[in-house]
Amino acid sequence: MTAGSQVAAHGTREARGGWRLSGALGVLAIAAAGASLVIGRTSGGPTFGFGGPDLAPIVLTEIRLPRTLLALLVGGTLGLCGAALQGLLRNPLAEPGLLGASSGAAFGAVIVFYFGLAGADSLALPAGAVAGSLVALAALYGLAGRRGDFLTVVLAGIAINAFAAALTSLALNFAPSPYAALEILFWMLGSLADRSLVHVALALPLMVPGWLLVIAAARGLDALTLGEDTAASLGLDPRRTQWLVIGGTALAVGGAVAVTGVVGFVGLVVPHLLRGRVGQHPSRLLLPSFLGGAVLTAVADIAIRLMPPGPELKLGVVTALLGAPFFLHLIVRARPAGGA
Amino acid sequence: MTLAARDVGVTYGSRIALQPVTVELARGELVALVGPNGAGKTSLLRALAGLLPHSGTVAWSGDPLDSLAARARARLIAYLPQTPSLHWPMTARDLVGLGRLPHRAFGAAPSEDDRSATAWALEQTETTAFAERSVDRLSSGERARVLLARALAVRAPVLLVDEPIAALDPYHQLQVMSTLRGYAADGALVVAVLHDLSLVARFSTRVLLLDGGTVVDDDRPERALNARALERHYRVEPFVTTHEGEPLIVPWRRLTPR
Repeated sequence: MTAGSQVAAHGTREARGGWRLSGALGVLAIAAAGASLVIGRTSGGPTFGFGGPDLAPIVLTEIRLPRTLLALLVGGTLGLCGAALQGLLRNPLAEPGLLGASSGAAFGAVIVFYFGLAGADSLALPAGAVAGSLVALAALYGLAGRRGDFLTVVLAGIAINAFAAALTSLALNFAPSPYAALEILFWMLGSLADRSLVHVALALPLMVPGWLLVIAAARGLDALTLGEDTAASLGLDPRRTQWLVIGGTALAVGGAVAVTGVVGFVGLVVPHLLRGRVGQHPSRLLLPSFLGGAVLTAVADIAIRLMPPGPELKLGVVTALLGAPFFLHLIVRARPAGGA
Repeated sequence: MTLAARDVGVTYGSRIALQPVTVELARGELVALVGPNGAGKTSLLRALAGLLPHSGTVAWSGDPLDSLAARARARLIAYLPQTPSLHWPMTARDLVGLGRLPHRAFGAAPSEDDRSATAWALEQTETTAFAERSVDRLSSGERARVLLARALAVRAPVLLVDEPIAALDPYHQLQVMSTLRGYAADGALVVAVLHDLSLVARFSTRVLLLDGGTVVDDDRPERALNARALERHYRVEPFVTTHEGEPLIVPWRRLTPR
Protein backbone atom coordinates (compact mmCIF):
# COMPACT_ATOMS: atom_id res chain seq x y z
CA MET A 1 0.00 0.00 0.00
CA THR A 2 1.46 3.35 -0.96
CA ALA A 3 1.42 6.39 1.32
CA GLY A 4 -1.13 8.07 -0.93
CA SER A 5 -3.67 5.26 -0.83
CA GLN A 6 -3.24 4.98 2.94
CA VAL A 7 -4.15 8.64 3.23
CA ALA A 8 -7.14 8.19 0.97
CA ALA A 9 -8.29 5.17 2.94
CA HIS A 10 -8.04 7.18 6.14
CA GLY A 11 -10.12 10.01 4.71
CA THR A 12 -12.92 7.79 3.47
CA ARG A 13 -12.93 5.79 6.72
CA GLU A 14 -13.47 9.02 8.67
CA ALA A 15 -16.29 10.14 6.40
CA ARG A 16 -17.91 6.69 6.50
CA GLY A 17 -17.74 6.69 10.33
CA GLY A 18 -19.57 10.04 10.48
CA TRP A 19 -22.33 8.92 8.13
CA ARG A 20 -22.67 5.55 9.85
CA LEU A 21 -23.21 7.34 13.17
CA SER A 22 -25.86 9.61 11.62
CA GLY A 23 -27.49 6.61 9.97
CA ALA A 24 -27.65 4.69 13.24
CA LEU A 25 -29.09 7.69 15.06
CA GLY A 26 -31.60 8.18 12.24
CA VAL A 27 -32.78 4.57 12.61
CA LEU A 28 -33.07 5.06 16.38
CA ALA A 29 -35.09 8.26 15.82
CA ILE A 30 -37.51 6.41 13.54
CA ALA A 31 -37.84 3.58 16.07
CA ALA A 32 -38.47 6.06 18.90
CA ALA A 33 -41.05 7.87 16.77
CA GLY A 34 -42.82 4.56 16.08
CA ALA A 35 -42.92 3.71 19.77
CA SER A 36 -44.09 7.22 20.61
CA LEU A 37 -47.02 6.80 18.21
CA VAL A 38 -48.31 3.58 19.82
CA ILE A 39 -47.72 4.43 23.51
CA GLY A 40 -50.15 6.74 25.22
CA ARG A 41 -51.11 7.71 28.72
CA THR A 42 -54.28 8.30 30.66
CA SER A 43 -54.73 9.16 34.33
CA GLY A 44 -54.65 5.40 34.91
CA GLY A 45 -51.10 5.03 33.58
CA PRO A 46 -49.62 4.01 30.23
CA THR A 47 -51.79 2.71 27.40
CA PHE A 48 -50.76 0.82 24.27
CA GLY A 49 -52.35 0.92 20.84
CA PHE A 50 -55.06 3.33 19.73
CA GLY A 51 -58.14 2.33 21.74
CA GLY A 52 -60.20 0.88 18.89
CA PRO A 53 -60.60 1.53 15.15
CA ASP A 54 -63.02 4.45 15.63
CA LEU A 55 -60.69 6.37 17.92
CA ALA A 56 -57.47 5.56 16.07
CA PRO A 57 -57.45 8.44 13.52
CA ILE A 58 -58.23 11.02 16.19
CA VAL A 59 -55.76 9.66 18.74
CA LEU A 60 -53.08 9.49 16.08
CA THR A 61 -53.46 12.89 14.43
CA GLU A 62 -54.72 14.93 17.38
CA ILE A 63 -52.58 13.56 20.20
CA ARG A 64 -49.73 11.20 19.34
CA LEU A 65 -48.48 12.67 16.04
CA PRO A 66 -48.09 16.28 17.27
CA ARG A 67 -46.41 15.06 20.42
CA THR A 68 -44.01 12.81 18.49
CA LEU A 69 -43.19 15.43 15.88
CA LEU A 70 -42.54 18.07 18.52
CA ALA A 71 -40.29 15.69 20.48
CA LEU A 72 -38.17 15.09 17.39
CA LEU A 73 -38.13 18.74 16.26
CA VAL A 74 -37.52 20.30 19.66
CA GLY A 75 -34.94 17.68 20.63
CA GLY A 76 -33.18 18.05 17.29
CA THR A 77 -33.15 21.82 17.66
CA LEU A 78 -31.65 21.63 21.13
CA GLY A 79 -29.01 19.09 20.08
CA LEU A 80 -28.03 21.04 16.95
CA CYS A 81 -27.92 24.43 18.67
CA GLY A 82 -26.03 23.00 21.64
CA ALA A 83 -23.37 21.56 19.31
CA ALA A 84 -23.11 24.86 17.39
CA LEU A 85 -22.87 26.99 20.55
CA GLN A 86 -20.20 24.69 21.98
CA GLY A 87 -18.26 25.09 18.75
CA LEU A 88 -18.75 28.86 18.64
CA LEU A 89 -17.70 29.47 22.23
CA ARG A 90 -15.16 26.63 22.06
CA ASN A 91 -16.49 25.43 25.34
CA PRO A 92 -17.96 21.96 25.97
CA LEU A 93 -20.21 23.38 28.71
CA ALA A 94 -22.16 25.73 26.44
CA GLU A 95 -25.86 25.00 25.97
CA PRO A 96 -28.86 27.12 24.97
CA GLY A 97 -30.33 26.73 28.48
CA LEU A 98 -27.13 27.62 30.33
CA LEU A 99 -26.52 30.64 28.14
CA GLY A 100 -29.86 32.25 28.85
CA ALA A 101 -31.39 31.65 25.40
CA SER A 102 -34.13 29.43 26.80
CA SER A 103 -34.85 31.55 29.87
CA GLY A 104 -34.85 34.68 27.71
CA ALA A 105 -37.33 33.01 25.38
CA ALA A 106 -39.40 31.91 28.35
CA PHE A 107 -39.51 35.45 29.68
CA GLY A 108 -40.51 36.78 26.26
CA ALA A 109 -43.34 34.26 26.18
CA VAL A 110 -44.38 35.03 29.76
CA ILE A 111 -44.71 38.69 28.85
CA VAL A 112 -47.09 37.65 26.09
CA PHE A 113 -49.06 35.49 28.55
CA TYR A 114 -49.04 38.29 31.07
CA PHE A 115 -50.65 40.80 28.80
CA GLY A 116 -53.18 38.18 27.78
CA LEU A 117 -52.07 38.16 24.16
CA ALA A 118 -51.40 34.43 23.92
CA GLY A 119 -54.98 33.54 23.10
CA ALA A 120 -55.82 36.57 20.98
CA ASP A 121 -53.03 36.14 18.46
CA SER A 122 -51.38 32.77 18.18
CA LEU A 123 -48.29 34.32 16.58
CA ALA A 124 -47.66 36.57 19.58
CA LEU A 125 -46.30 33.74 21.73
CA PRO A 126 -43.56 32.56 19.36
CA ALA A 127 -42.74 36.17 18.50
CA GLY A 128 -42.28 36.99 22.17
CA ALA A 129 -40.16 33.88 22.70
CA VAL A 130 -37.88 34.65 19.75
CA ALA A 131 -37.48 38.27 20.83
CA GLY A 132 -36.58 37.19 24.37
CA SER A 133 -34.12 34.58 23.09
CA LEU A 134 -32.45 37.11 20.76
CA VAL A 135 -32.09 39.71 23.50
CA ALA A 136 -30.57 37.15 25.88
CA LEU A 137 -28.04 35.88 23.33
CA ALA A 138 -27.12 39.40 22.20
CA ALA A 139 -26.50 40.31 25.83
CA LEU A 140 -24.31 37.23 26.25
CA TYR A 141 -22.37 38.07 23.14
CA GLY A 142 -21.93 41.64 24.31
CA LEU A 143 -20.73 40.53 27.73
CA ALA A 144 -18.49 37.62 26.84
CA GLY A 145 -18.89 36.20 23.37
CA ARG A 146 -15.94 37.79 21.62
CA ARG A 147 -13.15 36.29 23.70
CA GLY A 148 -15.29 33.29 24.50
CA ASP A 149 -13.19 32.04 27.39
CA PHE A 150 -14.64 29.42 29.68
CA LEU A 151 -15.28 31.41 32.85
CA THR A 152 -16.59 34.65 31.32
CA VAL A 153 -19.13 32.88 29.13
CA VAL A 154 -20.47 30.64 31.86
CA LEU A 155 -20.64 33.47 34.41
CA ALA A 156 -22.30 35.82 31.94
CA GLY A 157 -24.77 33.06 31.06
CA ILE A 158 -25.56 32.52 34.73
CA ALA A 159 -26.11 36.26 35.19
CA ILE A 160 -28.44 36.47 32.18
CA ASN A 161 -30.31 33.37 33.32
CA ALA A 162 -30.74 34.83 36.79
CA PHE A 163 -31.91 38.14 35.40
CA ALA A 164 -34.43 36.55 33.04
CA ALA A 165 -35.67 34.35 35.90
CA ALA A 166 -36.01 37.43 38.12
CA LEU A 167 -38.03 39.25 35.48
CA THR A 168 -40.20 36.17 35.05
CA SER A 169 -40.77 36.06 38.82
CA LEU A 170 -41.67 39.74 38.69
CA ALA A 171 -44.29 39.00 36.05
CA LEU A 172 -45.65 36.16 38.21
CA ASN A 173 -45.66 38.50 41.20
CA PHE A 174 -47.88 40.93 39.34
CA ALA A 175 -49.96 38.24 37.64
CA PRO A 176 -53.59 39.36 37.31
CA SER A 177 -54.93 36.18 38.92
CA PRO A 178 -53.62 33.05 40.67
CA TYR A 179 -54.94 31.08 37.74
CA ALA A 180 -52.80 33.09 35.28
CA ALA A 181 -49.74 32.59 37.49
CA LEU A 182 -50.30 28.84 37.56
CA GLU A 183 -50.78 28.73 33.79
CA ILE A 184 -47.46 30.51 33.27
CA LEU A 185 -45.68 28.31 35.79
CA PHE A 186 -46.92 25.06 34.26
CA TRP A 187 -46.08 26.19 30.78
CA MET A 188 -42.56 27.07 31.84
CA LEU A 189 -41.86 23.57 33.15
CA GLY A 190 -41.64 22.35 29.58
CA SER A 191 -43.93 19.69 28.21
CA LEU A 192 -45.01 18.03 24.98
CA ALA A 193 -48.42 16.95 26.28
CA ASP A 194 -51.64 18.37 24.86
CA ARG A 195 -50.04 19.95 21.81
CA SER A 196 -51.67 19.98 18.38
CA LEU A 197 -50.45 20.17 14.81
CA VAL A 198 -51.05 23.93 15.05
CA HIS A 199 -48.14 24.08 17.47
CA VAL A 200 -45.98 22.20 14.99
CA ALA A 201 -47.00 24.66 12.29
CA LEU A 202 -46.11 27.57 14.59
CA ALA A 203 -42.67 26.27 15.51
CA LEU A 204 -41.47 24.93 12.16
CA PRO A 205 -41.25 28.27 10.29
CA LEU A 206 -38.91 29.49 13.04
CA MET A 207 -36.94 26.29 13.48
CA VAL A 208 -36.12 25.57 9.84
CA PRO A 209 -34.49 28.97 9.08
CA GLY A 210 -32.74 28.73 12.45
CA TRP A 211 -31.30 25.31 11.55
CA LEU A 212 -30.18 26.57 8.15
CA LEU A 213 -28.38 29.57 9.67
CA VAL A 214 -26.61 27.31 12.16
CA ILE A 215 -25.62 24.80 9.46
CA ALA A 216 -24.32 27.65 7.28
CA ALA A 217 -21.80 28.33 10.06
CA ALA A 218 -20.37 24.78 9.89
CA ARG A 219 -17.08 25.64 8.14
CA GLY A 220 -16.64 28.72 10.29
CA LEU A 221 -16.98 26.55 13.41
CA ASP A 222 -14.25 24.22 12.16
CA ALA A 223 -11.98 27.19 11.48
CA LEU A 224 -12.61 28.63 14.96
CA THR A 225 -10.93 25.52 16.39
CA LEU A 226 -7.69 27.36 15.61
CA GLY A 227 -8.75 30.69 17.14
CA GLU A 228 -10.19 33.86 15.66
CA ASP A 229 -7.08 35.13 13.86
CA THR A 230 -6.48 31.86 12.06
CA ALA A 231 -10.18 31.51 11.24
CA ALA A 232 -10.13 34.96 9.65
CA SER A 233 -6.96 34.07 7.73
CA LEU A 234 -8.79 31.00 6.38
CA GLY A 235 -11.40 33.33 4.91
CA LEU A 236 -14.08 32.48 7.48
CA ASP A 237 -14.85 35.69 9.35
CA PRO A 238 -15.45 34.84 13.04
CA ARG A 239 -18.01 37.67 13.27
CA ARG A 240 -20.12 36.12 10.55
CA THR A 241 -19.88 32.70 12.21
CA GLN A 242 -20.89 34.20 15.54
CA TRP A 243 -23.96 35.94 14.18
CA LEU A 244 -25.06 32.93 12.15
CA VAL A 245 -24.96 30.70 15.24
CA ILE A 246 -26.44 33.24 17.63
CA GLY A 247 -29.18 34.31 15.21
CA GLY A 248 -29.97 30.72 14.22
CA THR A 249 -30.08 29.56 17.83
CA ALA A 250 -32.32 32.45 18.84
CA LEU A 251 -34.78 31.61 16.05
CA ALA A 252 -34.81 27.85 16.50
CA VAL A 253 -34.73 27.76 20.31
CA GLY A 254 -37.21 30.65 20.43
CA GLY A 255 -39.57 28.59 18.27
CA ALA A 256 -39.01 25.50 20.42
CA VAL A 257 -39.60 27.28 23.72
CA ALA A 258 -42.66 29.00 22.31
CA VAL A 259 -44.46 25.68 21.87
CA THR A 260 -42.98 23.46 24.61
CA GLY A 261 -41.63 25.73 27.34
CA VAL A 262 -38.11 25.22 28.66
CA VAL A 263 -36.50 21.81 28.09
CA GLY A 264 -32.99 21.97 29.49
CA PHE A 265 -29.73 20.00 29.19
CA VAL A 266 -30.51 18.11 25.95
CA GLY A 267 -28.25 20.58 24.12
CA LEU A 268 -25.47 20.01 26.63
CA VAL A 269 -25.56 16.24 26.95
CA VAL A 270 -26.03 15.13 23.36
CA PRO A 271 -23.07 16.91 21.67
CA HIS A 272 -20.92 15.87 24.57
CA LEU A 273 -21.71 12.18 24.17
CA LEU A 274 -21.12 12.28 20.41
CA ARG A 275 -18.08 14.56 20.09
CA GLY A 276 -15.49 11.80 20.49
CA ARG A 277 -17.17 9.74 17.77
CA VAL A 278 -16.73 12.42 15.09
CA GLY A 279 -13.06 13.13 15.83
CA GLN A 280 -13.89 16.37 17.70
CA HIS A 281 -14.86 18.13 14.44
CA PRO A 282 -17.40 20.87 15.22
CA SER A 283 -19.00 20.64 11.76
CA ARG A 284 -19.23 16.83 11.74
CA LEU A 285 -20.95 17.03 15.13
CA LEU A 286 -23.95 19.04 13.88
CA LEU A 287 -26.05 16.38 12.10
CA PRO A 288 -25.44 13.60 14.68
CA SER A 289 -26.32 16.06 17.48
CA PHE A 290 -29.57 16.95 15.74
CA LEU A 291 -30.52 13.29 15.41
CA GLY A 292 -29.23 12.41 18.88
CA GLY A 293 -31.23 15.24 20.44
CA ALA A 294 -34.35 14.04 18.65
CA VAL A 295 -33.80 10.47 19.93
CA LEU A 296 -33.08 11.50 23.51
CA THR A 297 -36.10 13.81 23.74
CA ALA A 298 -38.47 11.30 22.15
CA VAL A 299 -37.23 8.53 24.49
CA ALA A 300 -37.55 10.79 27.55
CA ASP A 301 -41.09 11.67 26.52
CA ILE A 302 -41.95 7.98 26.08
CA ALA A 303 -40.48 7.23 29.53
CA ILE A 304 -42.77 9.87 31.01
CA ARG A 305 -45.80 8.08 29.57
CA LEU A 306 -44.59 4.72 30.94
CA MET A 307 -44.46 5.99 34.54
CA PRO A 308 -46.87 4.39 37.02
CA PRO A 309 -50.28 6.04 37.48
CA GLY A 310 -50.23 9.54 38.96
CA PRO A 311 -49.78 13.08 37.69
CA GLU A 312 -47.82 13.16 34.43
CA LEU A 313 -44.23 14.38 34.84
CA LYS A 314 -43.22 17.43 32.79
CA LEU A 315 -40.52 16.78 30.20
CA GLY A 316 -38.48 19.79 31.35
CA VAL A 317 -38.47 18.39 34.89
CA VAL A 318 -37.19 15.02 33.69
CA THR A 319 -34.38 16.42 31.49
CA ALA A 320 -33.28 18.75 34.30
CA LEU A 321 -33.31 15.91 36.85
CA LEU A 322 -31.10 13.79 34.58
CA GLY A 323 -29.08 16.62 33.05
CA ALA A 324 -28.03 18.56 36.13
CA PRO A 325 -26.02 15.67 37.66
CA PHE A 326 -24.45 15.09 34.23
CA PHE A 327 -23.41 18.76 34.10
CA LEU A 328 -21.90 18.44 37.58
CA HIS A 329 -20.03 15.33 36.45
CA LEU A 330 -18.60 17.30 33.50
CA ILE A 331 -17.40 20.14 35.73
CA VAL A 332 -15.77 17.75 38.21
CA ARG A 333 -13.75 15.98 35.53
CA ALA A 334 -13.32 19.07 33.29
CA ARG A 335 -10.55 18.10 30.91
CA PRO A 336 -7.67 20.56 30.61
CA ALA A 337 -7.49 19.88 26.85
CA GLY A 338 -11.00 21.19 26.22
CA GLY A 339 -10.27 24.69 27.44
CA ALA A 340 -6.68 25.00 26.18
CA MET B 1 4.25 38.78 -8.49
CA THR B 2 4.81 40.83 -5.36
CA LEU B 3 3.15 41.70 -2.10
CA ALA B 4 3.40 45.48 -1.97
CA ALA B 5 2.76 47.45 1.22
CA ARG B 6 2.33 51.17 0.72
CA ASP B 7 2.38 53.47 3.76
CA VAL B 8 1.18 50.63 5.99
CA GLY B 9 1.03 51.86 9.59
CA VAL B 10 -0.61 50.50 12.74
CA THR B 11 -1.81 52.36 15.83
CA TYR B 12 -3.38 50.97 19.00
CA GLY B 13 -5.38 53.90 20.32
CA SER B 14 -2.85 56.71 20.60
CA ARG B 15 0.18 54.39 20.65
CA ILE B 16 1.96 53.97 17.34
CA ALA B 17 2.92 50.31 16.89
CA LEU B 18 4.21 50.68 13.35
CA GLN B 19 5.26 53.84 11.52
CA PRO B 20 4.01 53.88 7.92
CA VAL B 21 6.23 51.58 5.88
CA THR B 22 6.45 51.06 2.14
CA VAL B 23 8.01 47.79 1.03
CA GLU B 24 7.72 45.35 -1.86
CA LEU B 25 8.22 41.64 -1.21
CA ALA B 26 8.57 39.17 -4.07
CA ARG B 27 7.99 35.45 -4.61
CA GLY B 28 11.07 33.36 -3.98
CA GLU B 29 12.14 35.48 -1.02
CA LEU B 30 12.39 34.31 2.59
CA VAL B 31 12.05 37.62 4.39
CA ALA B 32 12.99 37.70 8.09
CA LEU B 33 11.33 40.30 10.30
CA VAL B 34 13.80 40.90 13.13
CA GLY B 35 14.13 43.40 15.95
CA PRO B 36 13.76 43.68 19.71
CA ASN B 37 10.49 42.90 21.54
CA GLY B 38 7.85 45.52 20.83
CA ALA B 39 9.54 46.67 17.61
CA GLY B 40 6.35 46.18 15.56
CA LYS B 41 7.22 42.89 13.83
CA THR B 42 3.94 41.13 14.64
CA SER B 43 1.95 44.28 13.82
CA LEU B 44 3.55 44.43 10.36
CA LEU B 45 2.97 40.70 9.79
CA ARG B 46 -0.69 40.88 10.84
CA ALA B 47 -1.25 43.99 8.75
CA LEU B 48 0.20 42.16 5.72
CA ALA B 49 -2.17 39.26 6.49
CA GLY B 50 -5.11 41.68 6.54
CA LEU B 51 -5.93 40.78 10.14
CA LEU B 52 -5.24 44.18 11.67
CA PRO B 53 -6.81 47.55 10.88
CA HIS B 54 -4.06 49.66 9.35
CA SER B 55 -3.44 52.79 7.32
CA GLY B 56 -2.17 52.54 3.76
CA THR B 57 -2.75 49.61 1.40
CA VAL B 58 -1.43 46.11 0.82
CA ALA B 59 -1.66 44.82 -2.74
CA TRP B 60 -0.86 41.51 -4.47
CA SER B 61 0.43 42.09 -8.02
CA GLY B 62 -1.38 45.39 -8.12
CA ASP B 63 -4.73 44.25 -6.68
CA PRO B 64 -5.48 45.71 -3.24
CA LEU B 65 -6.20 42.86 -0.79
CA ASP B 66 -9.39 44.64 0.29
CA SER B 67 -10.77 44.10 -3.21
CA LEU B 68 -10.36 40.31 -2.98
CA ALA B 69 -13.11 37.99 -1.75
CA ALA B 70 -12.36 36.47 1.66
CA ARG B 71 -11.89 33.04 0.16
CA ALA B 72 -9.55 34.21 -2.61
CA ARG B 73 -7.46 36.05 -0.07
CA ALA B 74 -7.38 32.98 2.19
CA ARG B 75 -6.01 30.93 -0.71
CA LEU B 76 -3.41 33.62 -1.44
CA ILE B 77 -2.09 34.23 2.08
CA ALA B 78 -1.56 31.63 4.81
CA TYR B 79 -0.91 32.90 8.32
CA LEU B 80 0.47 31.24 11.44
CA PRO B 81 0.00 33.31 14.61
CA GLN B 82 2.62 33.44 17.35
CA THR B 83 0.43 31.70 19.94
CA PRO B 84 -2.17 29.73 18.00
CA SER B 85 -5.21 28.41 19.84
CA LEU B 86 -6.24 24.79 19.74
CA HIS B 87 -9.72 24.34 21.11
CA TRP B 88 -10.71 20.78 20.25
CA PRO B 89 -8.30 17.85 20.54
CA MET B 90 -8.60 16.51 16.97
CA THR B 91 -5.97 14.29 15.40
CA ALA B 92 -2.94 16.05 13.93
CA ARG B 93 -4.04 15.05 10.42
CA ASP B 94 -7.55 16.50 10.87
CA LEU B 95 -6.06 19.69 12.27
CA VAL B 96 -3.66 20.09 9.34
CA GLY B 97 -6.62 19.41 7.05
CA LEU B 98 -8.29 22.61 8.32
CA GLY B 99 -5.71 24.42 6.19
CA ARG B 100 -7.67 23.17 3.18
CA LEU B 101 -10.90 24.97 4.17
CA PRO B 102 -10.35 27.80 1.66
CA HIS B 103 -10.07 25.21 -1.12
CA ARG B 104 -13.21 23.27 -0.27
CA ALA B 105 -16.79 24.11 -1.15
CA PHE B 106 -19.43 24.02 1.58
CA GLY B 107 -20.23 20.43 2.51
CA ALA B 108 -17.71 18.93 0.06
CA ALA B 109 -15.58 15.98 1.12
CA PRO B 110 -11.80 16.44 0.99
CA SER B 111 -10.55 16.04 -2.58
CA GLU B 112 -7.48 14.12 -3.68
CA ASP B 113 -5.64 17.48 -3.76
CA ASP B 114 -6.68 18.22 -0.19
CA ARG B 115 -5.46 14.86 1.04
CA SER B 116 -2.15 15.05 -0.76
CA ALA B 117 -1.54 18.65 0.41
CA THR B 118 -2.21 17.54 3.99
CA ALA B 119 0.12 14.54 3.66
CA TRP B 120 2.79 16.78 2.08
CA ALA B 121 2.53 19.33 4.92
CA LEU B 122 2.84 16.59 7.55
CA GLU B 123 5.91 15.26 5.77
CA GLN B 124 7.51 18.70 5.46
CA THR B 125 7.29 19.20 9.22
CA GLU B 126 8.23 15.57 10.05
CA THR B 127 4.94 15.06 11.87
CA THR B 128 3.58 12.15 9.79
CA ALA B 129 4.63 9.70 12.53
CA PHE B 130 2.02 11.06 14.94
CA ALA B 131 -0.54 12.22 12.37
CA GLU B 132 -3.28 10.04 13.87
CA ARG B 133 -2.52 11.09 17.44
CA SER B 134 -4.74 13.62 19.19
CA VAL B 135 -3.05 17.03 19.40
CA ASP B 136 -3.60 17.25 23.16
CA ARG B 137 -1.21 14.30 23.51
CA LEU B 138 1.66 16.06 21.74
CA SER B 139 4.51 18.02 23.31
CA SER B 140 4.48 21.78 22.73
CA GLY B 141 7.26 21.47 20.13
CA GLU B 142 5.41 18.71 18.26
CA ARG B 143 2.23 20.77 18.40
CA ALA B 144 4.05 23.83 17.03
CA ARG B 145 5.17 21.77 14.04
CA VAL B 146 1.65 20.45 13.45
CA LEU B 147 0.36 24.04 13.48
CA LEU B 148 3.03 25.05 10.98
CA ALA B 149 1.93 22.10 8.84
CA ARG B 150 -1.62 23.50 9.00
CA ALA B 151 -0.36 26.79 7.52
CA LEU B 152 1.74 24.96 4.89
CA ALA B 153 -1.27 22.83 3.88
CA VAL B 154 -2.98 25.93 2.45
CA ARG B 155 -0.20 25.85 -0.20
CA ALA B 156 -0.58 29.60 -0.51
CA PRO B 157 1.78 31.71 -2.64
CA VAL B 158 2.32 33.87 0.46
CA LEU B 159 3.17 32.33 3.84
CA LEU B 160 3.32 34.61 6.89
CA VAL B 161 4.64 32.95 10.06
CA ASP B 162 5.16 34.47 13.50
CA GLU B 163 8.04 32.90 15.47
CA PRO B 164 7.65 29.42 13.97
CA ILE B 165 10.70 27.94 15.70
CA ALA B 166 10.46 29.44 19.20
CA ALA B 167 9.32 26.17 20.82
CA LEU B 168 11.52 23.80 18.81
CA ASP B 169 14.64 21.81 19.63
CA PRO B 170 17.83 22.58 17.61
CA TYR B 171 17.26 19.71 15.16
CA HIS B 172 13.77 20.90 14.31
CA GLN B 173 14.78 24.57 14.23
CA LEU B 174 17.16 23.68 11.40
CA GLN B 175 14.59 21.42 9.80
CA VAL B 176 11.81 24.03 9.82
CA MET B 177 14.13 26.76 8.54
CA SER B 178 15.19 24.62 5.60
CA THR B 179 11.51 23.76 4.95
CA LEU B 180 10.64 27.47 4.83
CA ARG B 181 13.64 28.13 2.60
CA GLY B 182 12.61 25.31 0.30
CA TYR B 183 9.00 26.56 0.16
CA ALA B 184 10.28 30.01 -0.86
CA ALA B 185 12.68 28.49 -3.40
CA ASP B 186 9.70 26.70 -4.98
CA GLY B 187 8.22 30.10 -5.78
CA ALA B 188 6.42 31.33 -2.65
CA LEU B 189 6.95 34.46 -0.62
CA VAL B 190 7.71 33.54 2.99
CA VAL B 191 7.77 36.22 5.68
CA ALA B 192 8.85 35.05 9.15
CA VAL B 193 9.28 36.80 12.48
CA LEU B 194 12.48 35.31 13.92
CA HIS B 195 14.84 35.85 16.84
CA ASP B 196 17.71 33.44 16.17
CA LEU B 197 20.13 35.71 14.29
CA SER B 198 22.43 32.91 13.10
CA LEU B 199 19.50 31.07 11.52
CA VAL B 200 18.25 34.33 10.02
CA ALA B 201 21.69 34.98 8.55
CA ARG B 202 21.96 31.47 7.13
CA PHE B 203 18.48 30.85 5.81
CA SER B 204 16.79 34.15 4.96
CA THR B 205 17.30 36.00 1.70
CA ARG B 206 16.32 39.40 3.04
CA VAL B 207 16.04 41.07 6.43
CA LEU B 208 13.68 43.80 7.58
CA LEU B 209 15.10 45.16 10.83
CA LEU B 210 12.55 46.93 13.01
CA ASP B 211 13.05 49.05 16.10
CA GLY B 212 10.53 51.19 17.97
CA GLY B 213 7.84 50.77 15.31
CA THR B 214 10.10 51.77 12.42
CA VAL B 215 11.70 49.67 9.70
CA VAL B 216 15.30 50.81 10.19
CA ASP B 217 16.93 48.55 7.62
CA ASP B 218 15.93 46.45 4.61
CA ASP B 219 18.89 44.55 3.22
CA ARG B 220 20.56 41.21 2.62
CA PRO B 221 21.04 39.39 5.94
CA GLU B 222 24.84 39.56 6.15
CA ARG B 223 24.68 43.32 5.71
CA ALA B 224 21.63 44.08 7.85
CA LEU B 225 22.89 42.02 10.78
CA ASN B 226 26.19 43.87 11.23
CA ALA B 227 27.68 44.38 14.69
CA ARG B 228 26.88 48.09 14.79
CA ALA B 229 23.22 47.57 13.94
CA LEU B 230 22.87 44.84 16.56
CA GLU B 231 24.50 47.03 19.21
CA ARG B 232 22.33 49.95 18.34
CA HIS B 233 18.96 48.22 18.01
CA TYR B 234 19.22 45.08 20.16
CA ARG B 235 21.54 46.68 22.76
CA VAL B 236 23.79 43.64 22.70
CA GLU B 237 27.41 43.23 21.75
CA PRO B 238 27.50 40.26 19.35
CA PHE B 239 30.21 37.73 18.69
CA VAL B 240 30.31 37.46 14.90
CA THR B 241 32.31 34.89 12.97
CA THR B 242 31.89 32.49 10.11
CA HIS B 243 31.68 28.73 10.12
CA GLU B 244 31.92 26.71 6.89
CA GLY B 245 31.50 29.97 5.05
CA GLU B 246 28.24 30.85 6.80
CA PRO B 247 27.80 33.71 9.25
CA LEU B 248 27.53 32.84 12.93
CA ILE B 249 26.10 35.50 15.24
CA VAL B 250 26.03 34.98 19.01
CA PRO B 251 24.61 37.74 21.24
CA TRP B 252 27.37 37.96 23.86
CA ARG B 253 27.09 40.89 26.24
CA ARG B 254 24.31 43.30 27.18
CA LEU B 255 24.99 46.97 26.69
CA THR B 256 23.69 49.59 29.12
CA PRO B 257 19.92 50.02 28.77
CA ARG B 258 18.68 53.04 26.91
